[in-house]
Amino acid sequence: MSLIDLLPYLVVVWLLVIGLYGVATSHHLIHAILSLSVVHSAVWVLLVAVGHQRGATAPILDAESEGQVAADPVAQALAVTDIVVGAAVTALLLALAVQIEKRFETVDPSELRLMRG
Amino acid sequence: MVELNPTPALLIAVPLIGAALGRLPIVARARRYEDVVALVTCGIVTGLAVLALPSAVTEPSVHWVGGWEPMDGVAIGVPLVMDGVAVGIIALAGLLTSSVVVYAMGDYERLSGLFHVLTLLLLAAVNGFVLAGDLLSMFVFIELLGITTYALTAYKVDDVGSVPAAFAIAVTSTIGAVVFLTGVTLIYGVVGTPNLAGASGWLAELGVAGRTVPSLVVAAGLLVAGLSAKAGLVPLHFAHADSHAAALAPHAGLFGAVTVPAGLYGIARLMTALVDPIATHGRTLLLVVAVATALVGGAMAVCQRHLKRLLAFSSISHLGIAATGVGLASPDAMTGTLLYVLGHGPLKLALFLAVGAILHRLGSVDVDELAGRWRDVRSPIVVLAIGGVMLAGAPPGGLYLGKTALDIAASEAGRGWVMVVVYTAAVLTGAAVLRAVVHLVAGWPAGPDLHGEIVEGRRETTLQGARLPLPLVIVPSGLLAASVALPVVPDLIIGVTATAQRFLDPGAYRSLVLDGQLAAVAGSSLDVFSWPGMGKSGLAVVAAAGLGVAAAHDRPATRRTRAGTPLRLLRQAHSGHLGDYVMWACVGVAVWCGGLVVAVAR
Repeated sequence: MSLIDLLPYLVVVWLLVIGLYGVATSHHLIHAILSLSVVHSAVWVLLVAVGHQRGATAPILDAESEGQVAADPVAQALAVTDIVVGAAVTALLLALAVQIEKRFETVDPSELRLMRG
Repeated sequence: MVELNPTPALLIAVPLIGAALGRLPIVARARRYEDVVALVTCGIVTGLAVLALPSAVTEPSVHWVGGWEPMDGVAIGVPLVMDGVAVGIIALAGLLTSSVVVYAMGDYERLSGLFHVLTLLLLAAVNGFVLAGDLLSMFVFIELLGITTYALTAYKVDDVGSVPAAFAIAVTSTIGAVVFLTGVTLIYGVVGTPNLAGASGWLAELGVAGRTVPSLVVAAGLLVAGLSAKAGLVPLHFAHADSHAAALAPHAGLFGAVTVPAGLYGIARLMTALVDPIATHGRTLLLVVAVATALVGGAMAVCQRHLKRLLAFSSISHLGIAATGVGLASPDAMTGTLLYVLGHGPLKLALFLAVGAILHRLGSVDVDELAGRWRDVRSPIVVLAIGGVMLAGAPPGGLYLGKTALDIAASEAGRGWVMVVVYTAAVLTGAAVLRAVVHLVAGWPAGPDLHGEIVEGRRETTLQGARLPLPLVIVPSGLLAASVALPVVPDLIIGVTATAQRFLDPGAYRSLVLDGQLAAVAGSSLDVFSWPGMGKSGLAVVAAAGLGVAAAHDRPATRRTRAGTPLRLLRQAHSGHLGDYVMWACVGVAVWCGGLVVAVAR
């Protein structure tokens, strides 16, 4: 496998690592939510990479595309599903962050250590 | 002519419809409207599941959504697999959700129907997750379950600790879901089908050919690590403890009884699809993690003064005990896990509902504030006392049955050390509850807590009266009786052993899903009421009572040495900081993936 073939997977690993690092060391809840989005996007890249073949085109199958190699539609469908799920979770997290800001007047996780021990 | 059985689809669709109907603005003024709708919905689900249970145990069936049956043994549709484990979990979930709806009629904060909507969504998600026969559907339903959990944790928006706890569980649980999906993608990339039976067939062929694909090892680690975030195994349990403490008492009970075991179900189902050498190493690693979870949960539970967080750690600990059964991987061990989950569910919900009744009547869940005030809450205290004894494993409850089956399995596998840990964890959790009971009855003060601080506890009900409302008394007692009387269920052991045998056989699962053929499986009986088993459990109960009294008597000023530096370090590790929880989650994922890679490569 050449470097170009490996590139999507390297991107996936990088996104996972940098996203998790961002969530773990975050000082701002919105930053943590966005880092979580970065982690999510790693899976989307992985799904598209897994479904792809050399020289494949978009999986829109009609009479004109007979005999053409197409990428895997199931993987792309799962990526879209996960985008929707990610949107729902991000929306909920943002609503929680707004509530936290209203109640505590801070969005720094270090100041929110309410259940210790 | 394709015969479509509507039951599996109904089990998922009915709670969704019920949730949608729960908030119709037209009839919102009608008193008790939401209660009636929710009760009817849960009743339908429980009735369907209980009626389907005997046939699901003896003759499991598969329902292909939309009629897309497999072609030439290749699955092209979405299967809903009704086997004994799935329908059993659905029956349990339906029964417990009905109990929660009845309990909430005792003046719980409804937020104009939102309580019932979220509770029914929880039921729908659990039903979908256990019925799903392919990895993509499992992912969707586990995410639905997760989102409902985050919303329910943040239910008491005005309470101080709820929303940060919801944020923490949302972040760590979403990381778990993303890790799970990464594993699903890697497996899909290797075998080319998301269908669990199909993937298991391909993996079996690879195993026979002697090939171990490296990405499969990493994928297996990611899958189990992601699900262990949902199941609350160490070191991904931190946010779960906060979440169960922050949610409303009935929902915290549902989490401990249904949601967290659903994660364990996912792990067990996936482990049956994997083959050697990944499977053996995976199970050993699961055994180690489960043992650690049981001990950490038990140790933390004994130290807690906050009743809901105490029960939260007890839930985590008991899930660790159930997970040892999955790790031991014999039919007897799986029987133990199933019996344990069946017995633990009603018991944990009963305990949480009793705590909710105490919160309603006395306005606090802090053991120090409640010391000596037993006269107002006699019925919940009785439930807590008997519940504590049952948590320690007293016969004849479900926990006792499960532990004895695990004992038989562990000694057959030559792993007796597992049972030492299991009994210790059960003693610790029983002692934790009994300690709280001693504080309430004897009036001994708990003293200041030097290592922790839990900020939570706003009232969950709308009125405080001089008497406990009837649902708050009847429902916990009924659930406790159900857990104690579990052995009374006819053909329980035979049915559960047959179910466990079929569950652990990947070939039977494949032929059921892909070819529509049933393998014959016979149940066996286990000698669960033997004298050694009852003796050990009796000793455990006595130890729990003794430890509970000793812990209640213990006060910082009278201690010559702190309760051990390890305990202090353990409590300090539960720092309440989101970044720490995420770091522990990353450690957990690294342990699973790295551990499997190292073990397989040797």
